[in-house]
Amino acid sequence: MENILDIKDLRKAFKAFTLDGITFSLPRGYIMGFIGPNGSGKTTTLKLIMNLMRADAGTIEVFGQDHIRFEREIKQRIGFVYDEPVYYENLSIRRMTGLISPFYRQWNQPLYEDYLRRFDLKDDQKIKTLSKGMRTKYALALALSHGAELLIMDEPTAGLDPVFRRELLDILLEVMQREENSILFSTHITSDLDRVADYITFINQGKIVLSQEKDSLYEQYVLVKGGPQDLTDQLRRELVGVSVNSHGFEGLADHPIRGEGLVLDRPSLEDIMFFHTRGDRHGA
Amino acid sequence: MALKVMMKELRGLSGDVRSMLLTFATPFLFRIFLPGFNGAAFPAILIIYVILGMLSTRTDSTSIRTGLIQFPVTARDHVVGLFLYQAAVVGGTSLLALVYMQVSGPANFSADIVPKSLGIGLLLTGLMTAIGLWLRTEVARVVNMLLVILALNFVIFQAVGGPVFLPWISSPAAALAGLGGWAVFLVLGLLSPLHL
Repeated sequence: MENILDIKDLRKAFKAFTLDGITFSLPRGYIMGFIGPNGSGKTTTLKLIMNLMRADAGTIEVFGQDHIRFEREIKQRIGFVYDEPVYYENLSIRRMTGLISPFYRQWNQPLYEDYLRRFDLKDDQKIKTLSKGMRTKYALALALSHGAELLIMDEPTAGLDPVFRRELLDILLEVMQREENSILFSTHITSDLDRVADYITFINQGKIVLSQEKDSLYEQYVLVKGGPQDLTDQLRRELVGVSVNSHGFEGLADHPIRGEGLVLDRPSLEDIMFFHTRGDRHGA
Repeated sequence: MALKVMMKELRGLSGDVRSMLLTFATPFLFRIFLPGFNGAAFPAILIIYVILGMLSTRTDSTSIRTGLIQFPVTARDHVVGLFLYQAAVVGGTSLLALVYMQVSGPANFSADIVPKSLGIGLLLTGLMTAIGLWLRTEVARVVNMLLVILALNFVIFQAVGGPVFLPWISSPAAALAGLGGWAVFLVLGLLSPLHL
């Protein structure tokens, strides 16, 4: 299977935070959810992919090419939706697009106009009057209108109303009908990914916790519930993370668990993220 | 690609008609009311004022982010394009100053003021752009404001000193020195750690 994105042993150190040995791949034709709590390193990783900052070590290949040597070529084929879409504020949408479109060889004006209509964006609206949601819609219209084979989106659904979030996910599925397209979708709203993602990469405190097919995650992980007396020391050691209250406990295991009185359930992505994060914090 | 970035910046500027009119019209309004603006140094003041009004904002972090995120360019393309754009605006404003001098009577202004102001403008815009790229936006704004105040005082006091503006340097030498300084700051700008 051809990888559209290959990241190997990526490192970037800041004063209070280090991105440490990030390694994962995105196969062509799939959607990868890039999840993690706030401040875990998602945005930094995406910035490094887009060469908006320089890594201390490691390699990034996009479309099989080095992301620095072939930056211009690669950016022609990427649609990037930043978490805070930025534009020249005093311009109208029409003028802003008029500046952007000549830079793309594959710009598709009719498709772009179609997206504007679908997103209820008016050509003569000033950028500075757009809400966060409208900015994201506009960024998406731009990203989808130049034949991008890889969409990289940093928290695109954050701050959006549920209706547009749903609409956005439908659009992503529509984009994926062209089988050569791939999407890397960073978010901490994991419910969005339950619907659309094929792969999940989970980052926490600058390190990759897991990167694998979503379905295999659901097969691997088990949500374990029980009464206070069921949480033995041995069971506690087997759990990735555990939450205890007066009525009992709930924990996550990354392998099959047996035990009398235990209730086993399929975890959500949010459960997996929560217990990994909490587990790390408590050293469980 | 840098030329494309320069053209994009110029088109972005012309698309923001309100800001452009304000920036260009204000020094002419000030010329009527404000001491300094109504003196022999006006062409130099016009160039410096336009640099302040239109150029410094292009090195704000938001503008840099927009340039690098929304356009398929490298940081190098963006920085070179930005410097070329700044130089084009300074050149264009110098032409405007020249036309204004011809219209309102060259005798009202210091001799040699436009070519020498072009040199000062290039040097200043290069320095301000490099500062904008190297320093945090808030700090860069303060430093650049101080630089503009110093430059304005410098040209006003030089213009009242005699009939020839900066008599100790020839016009070609001043323009070339400005261009040389601009080129040095361009190199420094290329080495800058862009704040994204």
